[in-house]
Amino acid sequence: MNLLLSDPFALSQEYPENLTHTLNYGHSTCIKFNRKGDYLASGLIDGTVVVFDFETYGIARVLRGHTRSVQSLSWSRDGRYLLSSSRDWKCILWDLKDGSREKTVRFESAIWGAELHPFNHQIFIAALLDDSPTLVDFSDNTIRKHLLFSAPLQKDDEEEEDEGEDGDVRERKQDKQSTLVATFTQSGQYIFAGTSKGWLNVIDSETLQTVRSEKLTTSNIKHICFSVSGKQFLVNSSDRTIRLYNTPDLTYVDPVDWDIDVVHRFQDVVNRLQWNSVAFSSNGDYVLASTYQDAHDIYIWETTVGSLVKIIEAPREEIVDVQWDPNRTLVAATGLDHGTIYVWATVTPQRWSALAPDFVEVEENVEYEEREDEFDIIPDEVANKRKLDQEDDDEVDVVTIERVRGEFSEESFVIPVILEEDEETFDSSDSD
Amino acid sequence: MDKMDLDGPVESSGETTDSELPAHYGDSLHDISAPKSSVNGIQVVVATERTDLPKYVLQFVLEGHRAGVTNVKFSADGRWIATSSADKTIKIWHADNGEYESTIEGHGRGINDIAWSPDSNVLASASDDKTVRIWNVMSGRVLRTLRGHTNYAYSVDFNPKGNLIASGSFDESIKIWDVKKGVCLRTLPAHSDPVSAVHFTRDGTMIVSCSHDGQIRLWDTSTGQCLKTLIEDSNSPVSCVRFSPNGKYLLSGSLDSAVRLWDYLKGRCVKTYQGHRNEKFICVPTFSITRGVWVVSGSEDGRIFFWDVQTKEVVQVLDGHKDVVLAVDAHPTKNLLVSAGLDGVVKIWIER
Repeated sequence: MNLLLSDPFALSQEYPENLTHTLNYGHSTCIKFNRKGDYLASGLIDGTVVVFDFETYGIARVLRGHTRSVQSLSWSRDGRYLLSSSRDWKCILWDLKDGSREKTVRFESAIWGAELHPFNHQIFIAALLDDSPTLVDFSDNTIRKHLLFSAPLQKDDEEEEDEGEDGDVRERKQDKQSTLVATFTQSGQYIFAGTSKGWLNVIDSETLQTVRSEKLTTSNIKHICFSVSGKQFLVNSSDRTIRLYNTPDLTYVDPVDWDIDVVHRFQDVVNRLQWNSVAFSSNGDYVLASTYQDAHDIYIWETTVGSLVKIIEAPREEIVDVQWDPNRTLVAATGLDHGTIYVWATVTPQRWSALAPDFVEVEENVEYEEREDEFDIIPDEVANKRKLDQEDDDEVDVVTIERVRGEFSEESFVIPVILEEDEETFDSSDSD
Repeated sequence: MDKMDLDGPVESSGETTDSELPAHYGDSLHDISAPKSSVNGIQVVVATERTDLPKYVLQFVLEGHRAGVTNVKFSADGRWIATSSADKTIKIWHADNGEYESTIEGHGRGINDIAWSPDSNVLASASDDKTVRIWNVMSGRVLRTLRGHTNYAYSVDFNPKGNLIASGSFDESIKIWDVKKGVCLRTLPAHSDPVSAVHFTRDGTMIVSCSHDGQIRLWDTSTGQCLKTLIEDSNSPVSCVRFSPNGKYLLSGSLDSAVRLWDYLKGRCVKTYQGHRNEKFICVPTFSITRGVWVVSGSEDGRIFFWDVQTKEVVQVLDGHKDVVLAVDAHPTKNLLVSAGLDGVVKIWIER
């Protein structure tokens, strides 16, 4: 509701420029905002998952359960459940109402990352190190794992050619691929998986068949992420390029006819750096990426033209994981050396015209012209009566709740504040 | 500590009767308001021709406080009533039968305001001992003591998520506190006179505050910046302000015996409700929206006034308190009203 009274200039700031907060709780390795952007989950190097409340910048929940470093985090749609995957080969689904473990799933190998289904918190996809990517479904209280393929779907004409003596060669090429990253599309209908050979496999989440494969690059695909609206997606690969694609029409168009063409390629042509992590801005207009090693920077490109618009510098350390708040102009990033979380936001100065009802902001001096009746002396009763007569006889509606455009209106889970725990005495210095 | 329960024979004890109400009070109102009408030139008449008037009658009388009761609030889930008093205690009562539940003690001086958390488990209180305390209602234990104000704490409110508390104080500032850590996040240099009330919008993004300097100010919760200021021309101290249930309007009570409804986007007062007397004390006005939309306020002559939000007419007057009625509150879902004042007695009124 404060949007109605806010300064329009402040609201139009496209990207954050000022470092406003630094959060220190353990050594953070990965971070994720929930859908509303009011909570940030942070996975620590010792396996603890911490949920920060971004209204107070304090801690809302501390979740202990993993024994090794946290690899990835994924929120459920309503914000009540959090899925964390860790180097201890386990994925844990946490219920944030009380911080309890809703489900624990063990795997036979290390996990690259795990993502929850966008609508159903009981289904998730995990990309594993030595194994095929696995779709895990634990509705009905049983844990069912479905193995998916890393091998790309070959087109028909290619298959016919290779049936002969080249059959062996083809198989060997396929064996060597492993899926490094897998994520659901906006509706959850398909899974986009990226392999170590640069292929994008699109797998139908119901039939579990690969419906389309496209070779995007020759090197590892490290990240695939969708914009908040789902209309575009980014692919970060080891060839130091970030590719931006328009999402094809997934509902109405057949997979075979999808157009997966690069819209923009983002590279650092000067230093030829790798990119640690990528993210979209909240409105999809900007792309963020953090640089590898000594640069300590976050690059921001604009998506329509593809040009670099800003480089944000982090204070002391290399930035690993970068996230843009889905609803505000706010960027959070983790540092590599100390695991500090840095928060950049826009800072707007106080509008002084708000301090009195008749103050107005003007560009230049205005000559004041008195009203005719400026200095008339009116007895109190007459003045009051005149004021009361001026009041509208219009209907006032004090009950109906109207939605304000631009505000996040979906139901989002509020993590209950637990005040009784005496052990949670948090101080804002490092706790090792 | 004790309570008297009068639900059967209420009508015969002479407190209020609904059948007699309109004509009877219509006449007496003319008499009592005669001196007032010369002050602000308004004739106050109880609307008698309407059929949808509120018909509240006394249901329970809750006694036990040893000094005046400063504020009374229904819990968000509607099961409890909390009352704060100058006798340094908070008492918890059942909302459905008026039964006494417990007393919460710990403040060093009288308590000015209380606020329930959205989950109804936790209560915040602001006191003349300059602290705001957070209590667990069931156990009565103090969970956090928020220190920082340099003078009496006058008013307190939880935000809808329950993780922030705003408090207004005699030291002219508003402090926003982190509930979990119990520390002050921000101090707003709000007014140039004691801050008499603070209230959050239903989405927690704005805080409204009012003060004895006659100003009502709207603040952005996350940045702490002032978004808007409203002043009534007479500059009379504003004793209390709160948002309407949908957050689009502000209801303010000021010490010139008027309750005003403001549209803050337009920046002006759209309705004025008069007929009661309020010149010295903080009489908290509130909305009753469970059946019919009314504005309710206590008055310094011991009565409770109901106005129709649209027409500004007085639609009911309840008599029964012997001294200034300081606070009224409406139940979130049922047609219940609770009132309390300087006489130390709390009364529950029901409309069947």
